Amino acid sequence: MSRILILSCLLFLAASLWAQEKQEKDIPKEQQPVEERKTGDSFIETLGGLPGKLVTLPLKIVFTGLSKVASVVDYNALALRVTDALTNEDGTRKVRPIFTPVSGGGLIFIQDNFLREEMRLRATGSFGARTRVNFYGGLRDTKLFSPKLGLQVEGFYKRVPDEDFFGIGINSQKATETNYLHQETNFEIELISQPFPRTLLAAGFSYSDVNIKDGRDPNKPSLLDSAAVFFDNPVPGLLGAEMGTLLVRMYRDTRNGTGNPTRGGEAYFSYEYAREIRGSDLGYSKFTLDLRRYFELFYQRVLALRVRAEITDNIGAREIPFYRLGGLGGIEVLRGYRASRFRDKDLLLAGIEYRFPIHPAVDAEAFFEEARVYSDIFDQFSLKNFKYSYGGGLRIKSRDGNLVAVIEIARSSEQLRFYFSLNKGLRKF
Amino acid sequence: MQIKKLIVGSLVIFALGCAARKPYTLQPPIAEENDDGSIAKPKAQKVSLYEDAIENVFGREIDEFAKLPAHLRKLTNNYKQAKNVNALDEVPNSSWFTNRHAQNPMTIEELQCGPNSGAVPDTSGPLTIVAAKVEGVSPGCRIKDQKGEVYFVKFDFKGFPQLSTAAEVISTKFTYAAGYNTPENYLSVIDPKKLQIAGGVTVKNRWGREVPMTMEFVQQLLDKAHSNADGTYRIVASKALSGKPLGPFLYGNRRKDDPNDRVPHHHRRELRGYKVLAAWLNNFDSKASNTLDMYVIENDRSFVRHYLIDFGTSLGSGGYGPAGRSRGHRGGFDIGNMLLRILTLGLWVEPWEKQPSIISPSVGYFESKLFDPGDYAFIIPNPAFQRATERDGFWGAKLVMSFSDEQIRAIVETGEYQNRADEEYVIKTLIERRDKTGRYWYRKINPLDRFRVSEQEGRYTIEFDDLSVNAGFEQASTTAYRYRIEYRGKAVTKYAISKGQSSLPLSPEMIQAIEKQFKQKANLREEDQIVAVAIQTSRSGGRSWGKYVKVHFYFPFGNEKAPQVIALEREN
Repeated sequence: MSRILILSCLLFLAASLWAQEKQEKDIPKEQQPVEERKTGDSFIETLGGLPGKLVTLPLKIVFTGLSKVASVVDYNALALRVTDALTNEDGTRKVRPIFTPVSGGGLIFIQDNFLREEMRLRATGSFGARTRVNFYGGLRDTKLFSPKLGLQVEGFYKRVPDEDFFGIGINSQKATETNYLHQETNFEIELISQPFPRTLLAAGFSYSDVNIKDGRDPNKPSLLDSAAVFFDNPVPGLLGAEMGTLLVRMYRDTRNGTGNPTRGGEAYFSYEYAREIRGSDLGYSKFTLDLRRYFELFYQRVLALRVRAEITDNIGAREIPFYRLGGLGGIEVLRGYRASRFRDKDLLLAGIEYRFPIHPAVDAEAFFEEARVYSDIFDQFSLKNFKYSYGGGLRIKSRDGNLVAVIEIARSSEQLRFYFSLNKGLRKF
Repeated sequence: MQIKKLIVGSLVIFALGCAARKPYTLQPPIAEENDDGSIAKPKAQKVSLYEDAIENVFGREIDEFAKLPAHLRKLTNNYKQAKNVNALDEVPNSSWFTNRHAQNPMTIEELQCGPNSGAVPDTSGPLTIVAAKVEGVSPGCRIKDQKGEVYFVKFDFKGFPQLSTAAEVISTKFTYAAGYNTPENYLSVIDPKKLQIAGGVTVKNRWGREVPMTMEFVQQLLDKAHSNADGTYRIVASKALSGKPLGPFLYGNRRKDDPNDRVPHHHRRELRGYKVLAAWLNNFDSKASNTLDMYVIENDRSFVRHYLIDFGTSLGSGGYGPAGRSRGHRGGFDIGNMLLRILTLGLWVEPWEKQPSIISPSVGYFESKLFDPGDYAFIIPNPAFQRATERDGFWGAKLVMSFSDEQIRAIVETGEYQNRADEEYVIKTLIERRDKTGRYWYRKINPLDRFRVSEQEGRYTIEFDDLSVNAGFEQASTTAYRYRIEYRGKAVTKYAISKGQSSLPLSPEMIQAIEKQFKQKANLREEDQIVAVAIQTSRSGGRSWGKYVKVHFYFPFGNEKAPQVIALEREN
């Protein structure tokens, strides 16, 4: 090793002397005609730069490759072609990619003025791991019957093959994790009204057909096989059901932007009254309230507050299917836990999120959220035993605020979770 | 231990090798770079914006990080200096640059005229669209007027009257006067009713496909533009450059198929020093895409002339509207700043974030209070700018400082702002930014310039301009200069001190010391009669001394020739 070093130094020395000797023969370079000057790197510089060049060669190749790819994409307007081939000039048609861990990746298609003015067609298709499939299609015309009364028709099919069930209640154990496949076909028809700007009211009926099957995760026990062993009480809705639901919903959106809002808020309220169609075992009513508010603290630093409550009740002696219970965990509620880690009839969540710009196209966020489920929030209300999670992430937005990719890391007492989502907000009611 | 000694010894010898300098010879400074020899037409090149960005943000950064000699140069303050300067540390005229206002002050009329030859577009008759505009960032089209002249036409964006057209015209004239090649840009007004499309004109649609240009396309273009109350549009008409376009030049490397292009672009003083001028004009988008090489025929020679084009992202204009507040403060991808913001949870609010988003619709966002000439950030790191040394910066600052208040006003007036207050604001801001530029760079280098040597009855005096004092940044009364004679790199006299005046008389002792050196030479040649005066400047009346500037001058001994300045060496 030391020989190599000594040799290198000698070489260095010789080259320096050679360079010095060479320079002595010339007049000062500033007095030479520019076209006769040697303008490249000297031998010694080239030699000295060689080790570094070798070390960084792989990275250089990667970035050279990236630049070439970028050049081809740019020159052929590939990105524009993909987006614009599906988007018309006046902005009435939009196609955007979407991704969430629950639905997988796919596309959302929005066509305004479909069939008639004021009618909006929305359709999504997404696919994920283990044959995860989501299809959605909906038509909304807020002025179909009169300037203030319209109609919304929508339907979806989803197949989520590795849902988890840990039992019911805030004390459900991680050890009792079971796996199931949730398959659902849903059809909804609602009268809708926009009595005030930014406010949407809806009332209607929905039909759903749910099938519960063995999950596709081979490493976890199947819910269907293990329910009797793992849980003291029977799990209602274990076989799925066809249900009819009466719906009343209200949504108010006063945000100043859909991507990364800095002011305004969202308010969502719904009441569902659902009964099993071909049986008398299942039936429930559910209130849901979800409030979000955005405050600009200073210079685009935004505080986002959220409160969510769900109250679910049995109808008479009918049971509430376990998949309609309030669920905590996952990308929407209590991000530090697995999806639906805690389930019960009632749910309360409070979250605070602080967003701040780190680049014109990127905001960073830090969040903290606390929540718990109750079997009866009025009888058992307590501020104890709340579960919490905290974390941070990056929100990448496009110039028009439509394309928002979110990368998040969330931590809870049980685990650390990573999330990536793209255009999650576009799927709102 | 031995290895350490060897390494240290090698470094010392390396440094000495680099520092060794052959004595100057008696010859006038190089005034022209002969880079206009006839050549075969080089291939036109395309530079993708994204390719340029990725290469300059990541690729080249990695290269630089791993370049050990570059780190060694930093450690020893032995930066690689520009390779096309002459002995007076100035730039010879070339196909890149022509010494103009800073060397030979232009008249107000000349400054206002700029590169324009008077070929104002004739908008009285039909204007024929002959092509879409694809060069530069601003959208537009190419039109032919009744006289058959072709112009690239650009508009102001809707809601921002005069913003980009005024910026384009004003910045073009400053850049031209500084010495760079720019297109002729004219302000004009067109009536959309006079627009017609020539047959066979195609345009790339949003899908990137060539389709016939239609009036619908023109209307879409006009819909985005700001129209006057009478339905006409104010435009900036950029006269088509003569010659054949060869695409942009890169700020790094050379055009390999141009035998005249011998100096790597990042080692060209005028491209390095352009950093200072671009920062002054808030031309934050100074990248390859905003340049153009033209294959021209001049004086029976065919060669490449290099142009700076598209100044739509300068002053307060951001190309697509007002410039963003972060422009000039943060690059397009400043990962260090992003990490810092994350670590401080956004509680650290940068001063520019507290600024209003625009001054006015016509001015956009342009200010001087937060402008930092030494830390100005361009959207994409520019390889020439990044290699600029203090000497390059000082040279660039001299270009900027060559514009007086009156001259700045005269050029800004050619932007034809409708609101007098907007015009005054731009003038005031440019003056303030100019002074900040001068103050900053004149402190980095000993700002003594334009040396002369005079001889009267055997008494020699070195005279010069102290640029800081002349600009009013420093007081002559508190300024002192100390100087000594050096011969062949060795000091032969003690320091003498001169206070309050920009002249250094050579004392009889100094003359004797010089003559003594000459007499030691057996065969005294003219080259042996070049001596140096090393000068340091103090702004505190002599309490502390700054960097030196060495003036090498021919000291006639025993003949009738006049003394003359041969070379300048500025400590970096």
